[in-house]
Amino acid sequence: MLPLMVGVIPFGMVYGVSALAAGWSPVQTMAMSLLLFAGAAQLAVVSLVAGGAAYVAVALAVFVMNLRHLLYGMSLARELPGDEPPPRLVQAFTLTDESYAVTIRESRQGRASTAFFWGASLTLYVSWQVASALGIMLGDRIPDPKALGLDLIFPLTFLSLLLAVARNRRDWAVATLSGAIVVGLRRVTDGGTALIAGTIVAACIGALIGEGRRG
Amino acid sequence: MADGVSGGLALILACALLTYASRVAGFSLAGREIPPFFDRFLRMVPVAAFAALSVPDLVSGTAPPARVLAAVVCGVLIIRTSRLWLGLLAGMLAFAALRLAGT
Repeated sequence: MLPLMVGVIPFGMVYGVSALAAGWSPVQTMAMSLLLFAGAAQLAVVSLVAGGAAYVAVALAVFVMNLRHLLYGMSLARELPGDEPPPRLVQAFTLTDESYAVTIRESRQGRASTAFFWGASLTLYVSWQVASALGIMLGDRIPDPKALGLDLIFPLTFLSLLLAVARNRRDWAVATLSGAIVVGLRRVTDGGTALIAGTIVAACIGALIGEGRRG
Repeated sequence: MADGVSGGLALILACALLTYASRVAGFSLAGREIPPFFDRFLRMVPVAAFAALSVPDLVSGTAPPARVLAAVVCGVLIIRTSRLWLGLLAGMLAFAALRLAGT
């Protein structure tokens, strides 16, 4: 599994600042952190909307990006008993790369429990909200983001996320392919569609060449 | 300023519901075997998505050469220090410096 581990506080602050710079209101920015609670997807929403993508494409892109939580849930459900509070419907809401990764690590040492997972999840959730709020407050004070070239922060942040998850030559091949496809598709279609198509095609090819190898 | 992006909350709700669906489905599908291809596909999505989200905006927009150089600076810092904020700061500063220098 390739869970994404990036510092929650810096990442949350980048999100808060970027969202405001892109024209989102403080309420909207905070609402996304509270309801969606998925850093990379939140930044993708802000970036795609700023690029003029259709909302349907944005929602679809988020869905594809966050499908991996399906794997996390299935994996965790095998490790954790299902009868301890809080109920699974509540636990599921805060499932993320980080809470999954630390819980699985504990389970490998025979120490996983719902209490541990829930504790980790709550900590991350609260940290993310605090970080987002800090970013919002900071972002509110920046006068003219576009002139400062602040829009570069999106591709740079996604680049650092890519560096966090890419592990081997196959990953880099998929990354290169994805980038190339999206750049090409952008000439003929909008940013949102190009993103979704490029991601799916590149991931499929990666799955094909990854036959037999554990990620 | 208080208005923000129009239709933003509706979009946020849609994204939140779609994401929650994946999160819950995983827990509910416990014990089922996931088709190997779909499993591998899902593991590749983050790599593909992050590349798709970063590459296009580095090779287009204002001053692409400066953007790419700034990205290299950012990448090197991230690899060396493992600190997101350092990499971002270095990249943004490099970009500003390159643009001032007329790249």
